[in-house]
Amino acid sequence: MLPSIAIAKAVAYADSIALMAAGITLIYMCTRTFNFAHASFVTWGLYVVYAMTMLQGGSPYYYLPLAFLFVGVLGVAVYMLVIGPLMRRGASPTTLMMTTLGVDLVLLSTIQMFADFLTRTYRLYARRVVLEVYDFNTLGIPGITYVSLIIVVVLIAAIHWFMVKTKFGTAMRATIENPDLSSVLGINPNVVYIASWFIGGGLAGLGGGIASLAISGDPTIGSRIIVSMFASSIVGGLYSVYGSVLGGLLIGLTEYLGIMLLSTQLGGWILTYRPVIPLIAMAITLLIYPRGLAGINWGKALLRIKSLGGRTWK
Amino acid sequence: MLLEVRNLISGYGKLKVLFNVNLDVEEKEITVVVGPNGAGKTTLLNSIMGIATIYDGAVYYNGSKISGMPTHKISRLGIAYLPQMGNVFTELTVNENLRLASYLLDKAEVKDRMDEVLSLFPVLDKFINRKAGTLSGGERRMLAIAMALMRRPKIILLDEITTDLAPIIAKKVLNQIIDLRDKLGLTILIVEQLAKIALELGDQAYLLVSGTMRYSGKALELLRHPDFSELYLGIKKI
Repeated sequence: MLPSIAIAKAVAYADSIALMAAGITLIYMCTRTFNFAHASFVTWGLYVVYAMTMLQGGSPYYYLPLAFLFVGVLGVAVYMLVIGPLMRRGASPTTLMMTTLGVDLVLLSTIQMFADFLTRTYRLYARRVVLEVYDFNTLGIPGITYVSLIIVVVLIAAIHWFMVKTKFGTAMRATIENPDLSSVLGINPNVVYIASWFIGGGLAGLGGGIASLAISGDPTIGSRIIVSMFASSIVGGLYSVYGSVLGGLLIGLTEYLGIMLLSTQLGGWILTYRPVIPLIAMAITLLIYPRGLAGINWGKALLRIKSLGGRTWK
Repeated sequence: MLLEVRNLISGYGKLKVLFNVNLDVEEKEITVVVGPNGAGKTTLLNSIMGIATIYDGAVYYNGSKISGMPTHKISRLGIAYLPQMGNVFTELTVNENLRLASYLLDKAEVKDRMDEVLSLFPVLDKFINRKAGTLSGGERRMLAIAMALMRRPKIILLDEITTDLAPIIAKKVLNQIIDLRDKLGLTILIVEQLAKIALELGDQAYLLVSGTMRYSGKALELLRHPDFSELYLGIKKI
């Protein structure tokens, strides 16, 4: 049996992955860009929370909104300086995806420099970020488990409200479906794309901020968990933000708890192979049901399960 | 002249589709552009709306040059466009589609326009909360026209509005367009493959074959031209 603390940390980790995956999916749905720079977005979110906690003091939770804002603005900058101009020149989704790999390398360098700056100027050990000690504890469970769960639920409800109830949200859904028709109706698709990079980037930053309290971080943490983010997005279904959140929770929990269970059975050597779990999940989804969880007709699936249950076997 | 196209050369990417095309659309008239499949009719409308690439020539609206402007800005000038395919948002409800069509208006105005448009197309009121993707072809076409009217445009560009519709429904939709012109004083530019039906209701007509204009004049004159079939197919030139 796994200790309850491990399950609690797995929940917090899964919540952070769910937010990151939601960001990837939103950006992909709006601008057809598979954003590999999400790795550095997440790391920047983690470092914003770390640096502010260390330099300004107080709880790391105070700085989660700042992580959202900072990385949201970073996302807008990436769109306006790199992705937007390429889209206007008719770049293909593959070109856009490869470009984000380059952007990620540049951003990774800025994180490395920032970590060195923190070390040299403030004597902080910024190459290994551990903020767990700043977290509160309730009933033996770390605070981030409760807070991250609340954040995921509230944010998804807020995104749903925004997309369905507001004029701009409806315009966003319309632009995702048919950008040409949207512009024919007087909607500026560029504004919708900017908003998607802001929200998508913000979600990555927030996910990184939450991860800073759930796992130990370093400048390459984003590159190590990018597989989990993409796997979540694909398992959830690339065309649904809600699906990606579900995929994130599934992948995060399976990866965190699965590798712990395997290591207790097979030994510590297996820990190195942790990214294989999301990779397998991604491969299975692409082979069996590429449309992911969001593409499943749940009503039909339930009826089928019920009919199987009612069958008598001879 | 409400809309003028001058010496237009346009297409997509490196592919040129239209060559030195000229077109005039008079206010409150129905102007029809007919031509066989692949003549460049849709490209002509896409060029006016800023969707296709313009290599040379220009488009003027109310005397001002609009070629080179982004599509959403052209649309805001009062030009509505109904593309042949994908002219409604299938994942949104009828209500959301109509509200979106009046994106730039304030709440009170939207309500007034909605009532006005639903009185013109009462059938849509029955499906107001249904997803547009579940409507029939004719109903979708009506929704698309209703969406265009929500902004009270000065001119509507219609691309093959009768495609995939049963002849009776096609005629009904076209008659509704004449009604709209008469009731609302709209200017209409129709691009149509069903030449006979379109020319019967048009004032001015253009014949577009292989990216070049082969005829411009009165719609009925073109329809009654003794060599109309040959002209239409590009076998004969005037």
